[in-house]
Amino acid sequence: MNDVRRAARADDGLRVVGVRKRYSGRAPWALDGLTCRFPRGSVCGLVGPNGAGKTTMYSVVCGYLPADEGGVDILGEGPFDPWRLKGRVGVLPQDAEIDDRRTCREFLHYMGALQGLGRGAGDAADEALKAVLLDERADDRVGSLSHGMRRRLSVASALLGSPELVLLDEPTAGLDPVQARSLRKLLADHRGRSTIIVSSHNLVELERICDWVVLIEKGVCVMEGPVEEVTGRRQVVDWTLGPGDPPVDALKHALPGCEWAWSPEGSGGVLTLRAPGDADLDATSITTARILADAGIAIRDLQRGRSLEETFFTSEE
Amino acid sequence: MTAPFLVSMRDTLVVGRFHLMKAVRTRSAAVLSIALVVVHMGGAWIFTEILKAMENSAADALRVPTTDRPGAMLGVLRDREDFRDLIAGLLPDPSLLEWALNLPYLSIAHFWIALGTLPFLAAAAGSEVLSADIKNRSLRYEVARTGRLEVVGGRFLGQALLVFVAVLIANSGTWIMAMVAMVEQPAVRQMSTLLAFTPRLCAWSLPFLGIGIAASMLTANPNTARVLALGATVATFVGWGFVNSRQGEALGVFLVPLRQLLPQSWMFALWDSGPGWIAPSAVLLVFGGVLTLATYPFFARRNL
Repeated sequence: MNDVRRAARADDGLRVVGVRKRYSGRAPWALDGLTCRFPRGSVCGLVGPNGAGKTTMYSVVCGYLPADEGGVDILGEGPFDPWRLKGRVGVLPQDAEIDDRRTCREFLHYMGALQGLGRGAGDAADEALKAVLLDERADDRVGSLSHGMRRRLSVASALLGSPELVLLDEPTAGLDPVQARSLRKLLADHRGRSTIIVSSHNLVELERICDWVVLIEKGVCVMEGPVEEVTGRRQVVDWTLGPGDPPVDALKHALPGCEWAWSPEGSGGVLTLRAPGDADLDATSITTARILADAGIAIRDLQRGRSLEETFFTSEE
Repeated sequence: MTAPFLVSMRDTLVVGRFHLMKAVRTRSAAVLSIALVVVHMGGAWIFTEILKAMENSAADALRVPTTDRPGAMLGVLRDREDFRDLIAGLLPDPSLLEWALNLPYLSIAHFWIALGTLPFLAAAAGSEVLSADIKNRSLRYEVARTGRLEVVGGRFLGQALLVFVAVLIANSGTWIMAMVAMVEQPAVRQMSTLLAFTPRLCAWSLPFLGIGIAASMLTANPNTARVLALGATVATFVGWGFVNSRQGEALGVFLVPLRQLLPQSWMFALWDSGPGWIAPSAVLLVFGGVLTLATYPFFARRNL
């Protein structure tokens, strides 16, 4: 475990080092030496296909399951310990139900009391209910809530008392678009205050709110880093152009160090620019646009980097 | 992962408090209370019928009018051999007879009935404490905030309080029967005697509550947990009967220590007319704790 602590950096909200876990002796490894980090204060996406190990990773991090090998470091305090980390970690478990007989306020009050909020637990519960737009249902039994409302209540429990690390497993599953949007806003509001880790199959959604992404597959991390870096938004620009051959030689001459690739499509095509890591992509774009305009080439569309979805599928291939 | 003592105690109390708030709304709480009330009112009714038969027999002998509601001739019955035999038959020790003859008689029947029924009701109630929450994974919300031991301890506490409430409700059933089915019953004394027996009954229920909670930690299926809990409770009674039946034999010497490990061996000491019931109650409390934690090592490691 000391190795994990040594590997962790001060700015890590969560560090997972070499974690292996399987559910029975002959089962395949659900996590097979998973190593990844989630920077403190960022909103992080945890991406992977079904069975990649996302929920298992959450379970190991939250102490629901012991790891077979490796370890985790949470907020620089070592592995999960409900006493050392009391009130500092909020969790939305994927498939955990909330007791139907409790009211929304009572459930959150209970969670707050267990987090050590003391007399402030009631106020924190009311605040959390308001944040997830459930304040009008505060005294209703959980059993009377719709699936989406229960999900929001679970999210409220995870954000209760503004914990430093929040783990959300599929938070928008079952939410309608309006509710999902309001939840994204809520998470974005916590940026900088908490380290938020969100697993979701909705990559468009993750791309909107996350500034760090970890892609895992078959229990190992295949890619991690800032979203802009992982999707190539700092280096790659796709120019969708109208008819005519783009002046690639003029572009190479004007922007040395950049790589260009031309893929004709129909009456036009896509010109892909890959700039060096230290390039000023805004200045590069202005120069490119000017040269294309001088050559009389119409610019139909412009996309910086790949979408997270494309990145995900490319990594899977 | 050592919990600071005060924080651990506070969390245990928080879990116990919220568990009780939830448990009183459950179907099993209603079943537990109704079952206790029905059993006690039924038992009290049977006892009043026996008293009525005895009183009418005494009335015939004295050539006075018989009655539909017993109670008026209890003073006469107290000196009759058959009545003294009846009360003595309910007591574990003949030396307690004079003490018992001065108690409201329905409270003796109430205590006797509760000693027989509470183990099974407590075990059944305990078996639901964790299993359903393991199944629907709702425990994940709690164990992300406190220790598993505190969750178990708190729920044991909450469920014990629920049993206490159920026993109080059962007391009311017996008290109502005493007031309705009998005459000349001292209302306050009847209730105060029932209340005096209440902590003894709660102590008696604890080992079986522990058996139920231990079973509920083993499986995510509440029905399986109930079968395990009731089976184990029956096994303690069978074991106690077996050990008692071998007392006079050579083998009995080896069974004496085993006998002390069965909750039933401490049951009769609860009848004590003075403060002598407190020590066996403390032993039963320890039994409750130990039996609750019997399967905790498994629960502490299981995937919740």
